[in-house]
Amino acid sequence: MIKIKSKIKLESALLIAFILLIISAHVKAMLDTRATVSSIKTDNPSGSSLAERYLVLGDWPASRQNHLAEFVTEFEINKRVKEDKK
Amino acid sequence: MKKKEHSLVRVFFRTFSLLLLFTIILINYRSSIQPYSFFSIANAMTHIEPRHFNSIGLVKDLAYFVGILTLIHIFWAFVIIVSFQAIKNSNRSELNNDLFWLILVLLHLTLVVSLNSHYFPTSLTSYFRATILSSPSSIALQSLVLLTLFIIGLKRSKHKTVVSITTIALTSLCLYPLISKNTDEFFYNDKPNIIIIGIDGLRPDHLNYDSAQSDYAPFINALLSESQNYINSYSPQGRTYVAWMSILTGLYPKNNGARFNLAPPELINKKLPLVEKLKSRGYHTAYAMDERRFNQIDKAYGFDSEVGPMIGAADAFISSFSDLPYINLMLKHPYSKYLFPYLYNNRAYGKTYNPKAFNDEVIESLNTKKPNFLAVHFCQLHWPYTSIDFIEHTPEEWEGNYSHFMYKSMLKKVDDQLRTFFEQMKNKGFLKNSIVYLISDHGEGFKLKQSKRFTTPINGPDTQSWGHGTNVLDQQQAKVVLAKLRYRDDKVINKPIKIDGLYSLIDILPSLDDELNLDLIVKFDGIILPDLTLVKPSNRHIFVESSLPLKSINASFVDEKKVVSETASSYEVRPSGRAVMKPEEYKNLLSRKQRSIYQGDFQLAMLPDKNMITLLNFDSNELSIIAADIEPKSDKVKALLLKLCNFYKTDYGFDSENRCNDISDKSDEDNHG
Repeated sequence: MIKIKSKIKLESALLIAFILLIISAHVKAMLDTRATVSSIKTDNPSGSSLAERYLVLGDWPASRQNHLAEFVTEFEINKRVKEDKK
Repeated sequence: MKKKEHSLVRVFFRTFSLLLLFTIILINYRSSIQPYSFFSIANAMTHIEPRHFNSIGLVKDLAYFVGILTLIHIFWAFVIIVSFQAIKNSNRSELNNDLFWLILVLLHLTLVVSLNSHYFPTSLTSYFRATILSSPSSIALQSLVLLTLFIIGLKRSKHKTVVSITTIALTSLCLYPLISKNTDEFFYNDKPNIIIIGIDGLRPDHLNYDSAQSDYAPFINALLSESQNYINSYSPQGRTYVAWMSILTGLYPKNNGARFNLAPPELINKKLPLVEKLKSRGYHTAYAMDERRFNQIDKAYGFDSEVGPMIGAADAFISSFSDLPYINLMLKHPYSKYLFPYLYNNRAYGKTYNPKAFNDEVIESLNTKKPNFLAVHFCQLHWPYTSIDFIEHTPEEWEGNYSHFMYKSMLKKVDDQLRTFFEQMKNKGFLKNSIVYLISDHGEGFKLKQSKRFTTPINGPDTQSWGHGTNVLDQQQAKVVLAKLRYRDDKVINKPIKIDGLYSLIDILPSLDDELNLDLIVKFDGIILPDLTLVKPSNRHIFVESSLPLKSINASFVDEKKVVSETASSYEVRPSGRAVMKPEEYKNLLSRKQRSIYQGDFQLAMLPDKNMITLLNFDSNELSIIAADIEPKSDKVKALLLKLCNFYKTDYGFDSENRCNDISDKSDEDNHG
């Protein structure tokens, strides 16, 4: 009886661990994405780089082939162009 | 047994609730990383605000969308319940059965996000992008596990027969459009197909025949090198709907009534003589467009078939809300045009837009047993420049101008789409005997240094602006591509030629009327396009007007709040669910239009927003202001102003400064080009 109970408890523990693993995969990916957003975000509401402007407009500015960081450092929006809107 | 059934119902509702919770988490997560969320810039661009929700049509469209979302959750919960039968064990503790259930639900959620991350990397809910979970092998493994569980669950199901038959029927129904292929070929060869292909915002100076330094659009460049190319052509107004109405009527906006993209429909004559005549001659007529926010043309204008997303104010709300994995994935299936009519084949929802799927649907809309008249408009070059795949990494093209960089990147994509479209037309036999016009509806202003051409006096108006239809002095907004190709047996048979002179999109219809002997009883504003270059260009004049000169849209970045504050009071949502300009505002907005006339090396423009009349000289590249208090001295100015005044004199609010009174000669002259 004790053996069966232990087996059930072990099964429960393994199942809970697996659940936590799946949830953590989601949470980690979400947090990583948010951290990336923070790293490209500036106080300019219209965005200071190509990546940030693209994100402001509602889409994610990178794909499997491209690294987002490149679209931040190498693609800064020209100040003069930004000022045109004022 | 009753207890078991009760338990299943309980698990079903638990599953349904958990799926709903996941959707809510995704929406909140998305909002947390997106500066502008639900009421997005797209809403501002389509002039919708919360008070418009009293439209029954809009409410119905939104209710349908919410209903479909709910059904998806119910169906999904049902699939999970069936799969749960595979792992449920009555000998196991209730806690462990619940834990297995939870794992099953989480595996489903993981697979859906993984698939979304794989197929739609620009989706904001694709947070597994670039992780092992979105790799093909991982997705295959996850799918295999869940499919196996579902099949085992089906076998163990109490209502095995009913559930199995339903599953097989549904699977067959869903697979049918993916595996069936329409192999019918076009065989009709007596009357030519007439195909007008529009590319939104295509600027001639980004193409090789004009002045482009790079080959941004190899296919379009190759096509134009074979065509009769009218190299100095303009759109009567730099707006999509207005430009297309001018093409389809052969009339200026002033004469066909379509003065704004969202003009009240009751003010516009929807009878298109060309479409009616072609139908009476046995033609099948089709209108296709992959973005309908700014173009109202549909079957109500007489076309036999239409392709593209549904038209309505709900478009902006639904497309800004819809970035959820299961919606994105469902949009890969052709049946989603019934489930999500505002999203399927909608270029404005760029993260799932599939150019090939749109092409396929356009080709499908054509008739293989009749000659066809097809008017198709491709919008990938229009703001907001989103796409299913992000752009290439080309820092050498970057000049700090976001919109222009994205425009150049999207030009490659639309070029590729057009190449595929021509291949598809060829394969189906639609180019065996066809007249093809390739046009753009307007250009696009980016305030580029290299496009700055004119010297202007101090306090003179800007000759460059952002966007299109916002400034008649910005030549890159109104100058368009206008080219003709004649196909026989899949080959271009016309002589490639660049034709000088002054032309307008309104010239296409008179040319078709003449070539096909249609005998349309219309007094066209346009002229018949010549086949050969003219030794001496005629002294023709053409008119170009602006849409709304909005300050908020005339910017490198469109600020939604500013747009709403500047425009919202001018629009309403009708019971049909469509956003239109308020008839009472129409006249006021009409009076604010800029109007201009081109002739020879000159453009004379009346700018009510500046209380100014200006003259652009393309020979000396100078802009001069025609003073208000003196009679125009130059004969050229006088002649142009006279023509402009005569043409627009019946427009409400035209010439509030009474500049037309300065002209001594008030004779009414023919304004038809």
